[in-house]
Amino acid sequence: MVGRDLGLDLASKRTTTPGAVVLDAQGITAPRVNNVSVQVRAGEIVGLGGLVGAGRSELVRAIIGADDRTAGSVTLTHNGKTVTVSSYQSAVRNGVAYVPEERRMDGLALSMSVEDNIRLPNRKELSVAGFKIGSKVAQVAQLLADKVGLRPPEIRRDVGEYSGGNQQKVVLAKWLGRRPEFIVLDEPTRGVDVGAKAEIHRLVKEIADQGTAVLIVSSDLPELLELSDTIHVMRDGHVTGTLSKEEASEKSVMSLASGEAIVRSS
Amino acid sequence: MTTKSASAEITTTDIGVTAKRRLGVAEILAWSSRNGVFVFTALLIIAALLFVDGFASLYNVTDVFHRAAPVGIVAVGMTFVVISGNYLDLSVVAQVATAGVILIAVSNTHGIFIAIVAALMAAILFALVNGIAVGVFKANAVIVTLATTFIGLGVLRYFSGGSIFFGPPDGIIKAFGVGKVGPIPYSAIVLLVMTILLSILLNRTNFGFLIRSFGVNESATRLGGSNTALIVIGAFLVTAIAAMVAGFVLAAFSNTAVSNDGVGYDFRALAAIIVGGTSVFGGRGSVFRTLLGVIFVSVLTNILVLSGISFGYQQIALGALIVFAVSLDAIGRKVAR
Repeated sequence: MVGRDLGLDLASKRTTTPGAVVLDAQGITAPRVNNVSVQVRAGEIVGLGGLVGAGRSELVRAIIGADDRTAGSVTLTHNGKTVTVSSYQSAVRNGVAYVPEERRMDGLALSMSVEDNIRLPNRKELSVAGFKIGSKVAQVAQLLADKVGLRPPEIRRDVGEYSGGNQQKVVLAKWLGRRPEFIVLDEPTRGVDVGAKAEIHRLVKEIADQGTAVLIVSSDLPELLELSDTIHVMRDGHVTGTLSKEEASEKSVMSLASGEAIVRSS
Repeated sequence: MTTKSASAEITTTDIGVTAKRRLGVAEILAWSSRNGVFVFTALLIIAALLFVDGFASLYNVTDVFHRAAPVGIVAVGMTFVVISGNYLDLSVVAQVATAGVILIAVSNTHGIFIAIVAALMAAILFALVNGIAVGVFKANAVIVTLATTFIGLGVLRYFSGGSIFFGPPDGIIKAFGVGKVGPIPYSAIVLLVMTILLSILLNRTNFGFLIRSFGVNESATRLGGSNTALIVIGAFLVTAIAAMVAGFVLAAFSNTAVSNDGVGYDFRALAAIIVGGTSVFGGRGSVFRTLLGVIFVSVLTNILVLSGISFGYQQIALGALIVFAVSLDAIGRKVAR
């Protein structure tokens, strides 16, 4: 596989000084998720490892309310104020951003322009009394497109005309405008070329360095190891183990993900 | 590995994607689905001016707009439901009739102000039932609005007994129905004002943006943090308000109202919307396109009438036009992919 060496090459040392707990999810239960608790601190990148079908996407969707959960509580703390996340809309209102796994299905309106896609989650800030401020929309969209390195940075073009990597940058751009307190990234570089992948990694680190709590799901092991400060490994809807940056390796993650270690010890 | 080489790579891919477009029959058909209405309307009007006796009179042209106004007003409103990707609102048939009957019957007994408020309540009720069933429970819009047409007409016939209501011969409703500014009838002005207002709503507001976005991708719109149920209810509300105004205008024409006043309005409004180039798949279209579609269909009908072609053939022509336009729309969608 490509990626490992490249990942090491591009790995920049992050000086992790995690702050206070921003996201506190307790006892999350949903279809394919069984009583999982996750905490993410300000400036921290928490990774969710495991095999496809382990329930990671279901877990993050249940946490932010994109899907219903049958049990569990989720709170967001920001500037000493704690709010309970009850619905996806309330999550977004309170500073949650979500980069979904299926970017063409859930992340973007492909036949709309880059500008319109960026406008969607930021529409209230870019309007007065419900009326759009055209100049402000264009200005903010251009700023964000430049920031994520969209190429070519033409905000009037349909998102569907861009390559996968550039499309994913648009998904990031639309949420960066909100300065999120907590961002969920589900397979952020699936189907993305290596150049764009490195840029997305750089952006994710930058987001965390600015104090955002980051929760990332990735089946790309080198990526997960490179980005995460802590890794929870899931299997069959449970967290089977938590690894610190020092403990985490392809081997330790895979043994927890496949249940190999459990078999060996018994 | 530098970012510079990565950027070159990406640019090449993008050019590759753009250059892939080739011009074949399908592309031409797709183009005419989107923009054909501009060309065809112009051609139709030129042909009518040259070859149809009696078309080019001021009386005839204002009469075309006068007759087109009620269906046109329904169509510009229903454009919102179509762009939101929910196909159409069949219950405009019942909504137009309900508004007309309430306007005449209630203003006879309680005055026109109470009548307008009552009609507005009925419109909101229609929008809520349609919008909640489709937007919250995700029921199919065609079936839901087919059912609410039935309910609406049933209620209307129960209260009206199927009889015709006559307004007072010298009332404000009658005055509005025959009123003109210069040569332009009030009805045409209402159609124009509704078109402008709804166009602003669709193009300049967050609500209009969400209607369009929802029509393109429902899931991405929801995950963008918007309340999709409200978007759908809103689309049906715009349609219901427009249908109410159309019902008023129609009742004012003859100063009468009856429960089958709106028959055929569902299809004729949809015809104007589709001919205008608004996609039945949602996301693409505009209110002005619908106005153009209204003009096209009305001029076509007018030409057929002036040429002495019978009503049966007119229906065949309109039906064939829609099959053609919807097929073009579907081809256009395939090409875009």
